Amino acid sequence: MTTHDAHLRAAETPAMPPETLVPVDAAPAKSKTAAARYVLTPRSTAPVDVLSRRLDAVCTHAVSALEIAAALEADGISDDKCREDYGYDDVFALATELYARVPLRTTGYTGRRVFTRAPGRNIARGLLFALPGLFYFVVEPMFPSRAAPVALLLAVMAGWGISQVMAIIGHTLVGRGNRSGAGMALGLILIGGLGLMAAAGGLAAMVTGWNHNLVAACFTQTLYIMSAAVLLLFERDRLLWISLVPGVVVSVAYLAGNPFGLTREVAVGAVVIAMALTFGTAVYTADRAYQEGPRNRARLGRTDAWRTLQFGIYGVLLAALLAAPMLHAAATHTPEDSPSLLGAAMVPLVLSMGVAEWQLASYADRRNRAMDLAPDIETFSQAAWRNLLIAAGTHAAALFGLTVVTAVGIAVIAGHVPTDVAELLAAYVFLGAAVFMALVLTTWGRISVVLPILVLAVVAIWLPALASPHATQLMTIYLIASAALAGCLLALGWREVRVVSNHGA
Amino acid sequence: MPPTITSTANRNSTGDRSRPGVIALITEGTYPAHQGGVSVWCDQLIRGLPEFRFDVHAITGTGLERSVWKRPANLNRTLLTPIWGAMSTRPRHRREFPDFAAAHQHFVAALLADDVDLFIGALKDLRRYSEQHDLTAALTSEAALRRLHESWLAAPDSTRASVATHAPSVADAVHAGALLEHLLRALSADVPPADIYHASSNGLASLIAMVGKWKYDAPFILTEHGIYLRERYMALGYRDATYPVRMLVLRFVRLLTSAAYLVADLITPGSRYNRRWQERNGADPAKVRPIHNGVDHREFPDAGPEPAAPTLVWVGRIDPLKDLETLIRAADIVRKHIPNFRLRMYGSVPVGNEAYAERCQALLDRLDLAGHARFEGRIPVILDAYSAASVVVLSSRSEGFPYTVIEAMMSGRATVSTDVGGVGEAVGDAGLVVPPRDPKAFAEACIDLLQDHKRRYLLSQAARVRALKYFTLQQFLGIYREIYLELGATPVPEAVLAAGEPRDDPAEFVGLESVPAT
Repeated sequence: MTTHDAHLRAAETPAMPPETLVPVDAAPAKSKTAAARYVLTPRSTAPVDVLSRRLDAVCTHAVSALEIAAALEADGISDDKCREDYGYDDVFALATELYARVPLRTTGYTGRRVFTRAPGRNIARGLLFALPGLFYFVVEPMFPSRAAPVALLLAVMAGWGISQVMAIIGHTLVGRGNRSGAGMALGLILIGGLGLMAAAGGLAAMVTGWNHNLVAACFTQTLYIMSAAVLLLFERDRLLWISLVPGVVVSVAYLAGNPFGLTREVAVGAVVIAMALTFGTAVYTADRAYQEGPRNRARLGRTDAWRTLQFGIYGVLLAALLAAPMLHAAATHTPEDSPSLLGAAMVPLVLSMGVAEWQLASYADRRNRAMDLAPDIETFSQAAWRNLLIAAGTHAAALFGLTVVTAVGIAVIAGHVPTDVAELLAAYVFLGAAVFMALVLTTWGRISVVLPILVLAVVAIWLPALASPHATQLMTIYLIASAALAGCLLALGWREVRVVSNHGA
Repeated sequence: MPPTITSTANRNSTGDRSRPGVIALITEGTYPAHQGGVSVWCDQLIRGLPEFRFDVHAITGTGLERSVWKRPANLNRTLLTPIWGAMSTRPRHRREFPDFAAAHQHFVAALLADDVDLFIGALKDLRRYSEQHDLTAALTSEAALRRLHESWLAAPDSTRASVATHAPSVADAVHAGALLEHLLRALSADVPPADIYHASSNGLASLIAMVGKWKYDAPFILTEHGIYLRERYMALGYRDATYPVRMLVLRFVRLLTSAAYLVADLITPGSRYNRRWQERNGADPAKVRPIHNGVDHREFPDAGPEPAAPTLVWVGRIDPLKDLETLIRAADIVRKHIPNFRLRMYGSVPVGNEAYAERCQALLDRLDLAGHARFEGRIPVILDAYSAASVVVLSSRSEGFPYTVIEAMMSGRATVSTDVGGVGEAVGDAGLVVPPRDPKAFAEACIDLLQDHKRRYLLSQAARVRALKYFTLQQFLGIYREIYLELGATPVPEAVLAAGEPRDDPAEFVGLESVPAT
């Protein structure tokens, strides 16, 4: 072995027995510089030294001599062998010697998940959430009825509720190592959902007398949201993108001046294909998860069921908050408060959800670093609050920027920004901030605190609208309620962020 | 000489005490939700002693498990204590009860001082608290976490010189606090009265048995098949945790196992080998009485003629402790000497071991052993597995007193096993024993037996004789019957027994009764 080789090996195996390292001078090494003055001597070939090098990984990390004793036995060393080969009475005596002679050498914590591994994907999810909105403008003329936006928004609300339920079921099972069970449960919900939607669609058409196309569009939309939830849960964003491509390309071409002279049927057909592809890839993804590894059943307990229900309600409430002005505008349709313009007002918020996902991940990473570094809980609490403000501020800034761009876009297209649209844009900034804080609080397991606040907000917004649908101040009420909701959740966040038990390591 | 069984259970002045007429058998991660050696042992014990009625307390993962065993007629009920399931989502306590603060301080101090007597006292305090309040909520409270972190930072630690450089971070306190909360959920289990609390393993099962003993002054028997603490170490427990978290949580496990040895009235390891660990960890030698497992010779008659192709058979659950990688590497060596040899591996993959199973399959593929070795899943009639064998193999890194070996011996099959736990005691001179984790030695023993027909025949005959002499089910049951009676268990009156042979419920258990934390 050359000297160079010896140095390389020394660097690779720092847990050498002490006698292999001889200080140049008698002074004890007190720093890295001093440690560097050690020179190498040939490694000891004494049996215990050889053994300590072989069991280096265990000896350097052992929390007690008994842990080394267990490793010795697993290595085939019996009490007899201890006496014969190493000169110790039994494995316990040998383990005690190894524990004393091999210095502790621990590595940094490697078990922690890094959340911001794919920030681009997080941010892109905002676009993924917003793109299907294009489809609305393609199919809208097929439904002349004033009921169309109402029906479609109700379908969105149902879809959000169901997708939250599916996400919780999926995350719970995946979190328990039962990925195949999650695949089975979500696949069954999708396929069952298809049958249920078809049956419910037929019934709804009969009862309401709505246009069949409208009913089909509503249920397709709900099914799409459910399918997207499955793809995102299993992190198959790319499949969702691919599924949406035909619909998006044709829709953009059709809506942007229609340079290829596409007929409406072709455009609608492309949308239908996109929906069908999304459903198909979601079922495929769920089945793939089910097929991976042993096929375990999906089992959930009563507490899980209660939590799932809570998140279902949470999804419906959030959708109800977002949809309220749209429903109001649809119900009191006038040229001034065009649902299309109001719909455009929602775009910045939907796009900002990608930034929200990214900032949630960044916040989790920063919070974890603070937990590792803070010398005490008080210091950590302060750092956690700072990090939360950074995350919420970044999201709010992105949302505000997107809102300004949208307002300019509306002004360019419509000639001006109607007052109610401007108020709605402002309200959606507050609501976006509120949604972000709600997401943070639910990741801390505070769903039971968030729900009553959301209920109050929904009541505050919906009650005046139901009582007096044509009141002119409804958008103002919406703006005030959204701001109050954001403030309330931020205050709750300030209180909860300092509770260290909320931050599971 | 077997130890005299002296129960600390108090009796009243007439020498009698209120007897519920039930034996509480406590399991962790085994019977009745999983297959495996300990589960077989539990099933044998309950069915084999129809004169006693049993309650089974099963500590499980989520509480959603189903039984994989048919319900014996004398099994009263099964109570589940899930320790990893979802917590209640109700708001956590912001203020703690004074009782808890004192009990928790006591617990943290005992843990940091590494003092088993203090630890036992702290467990009693926490149990008392859990009878009135929600222990999970208290343990996850802000005050509890702060107390743990502050005490931990202040505690001098003499375990290793450099430990001072590994001061626990806030993250460590949160992580360790969460793990300890899960482990202490067993303390909150509803423990109905019983004549005897019999833990089928140390650790959390013993925690419930200790609660029963403290609550009802009933005797506590601790049976250890493997050594709980050693297996936690060997599984590199909490490997992805930081050093301080590993140290604290594994110290908890060590203190818990020591406490169980001190509190138990009788310790019955599955092999003499395991005594060493028990005594090292505080067990009084006078309380230790090794009892070997037994198998029913009627269920394991001579397995008959060997297969035409030289075949090694392995039976068990797919688990890192079974060290299938060594077996597969040994198979790679064997096929170079015996080209037509086969290795058949029977056993299911428990939840959580999927990654290990995949790793074994990948090794099989990488060594291009597909034509020689394969995983065949669980076999319904285990005797069929032994019938398919020329030699039965066991490559474990840790064992108690493995059924695979004594069943194979009873079936008249030669065995090659690793020298771990009680394997050497089981095999004696009626099989080959090699060091663990040594594929070469394992392969050489297998080649030797597969090629030497006469030696294989002689060993197989000697194995059956030895199993019939020492490891019958009747011997095993007889010892436990005697112990139960001596400790005051109430048998079912003979008239009731005579009225009719108890019959098994043909259906599997359905809807095991889940016991939420009080």
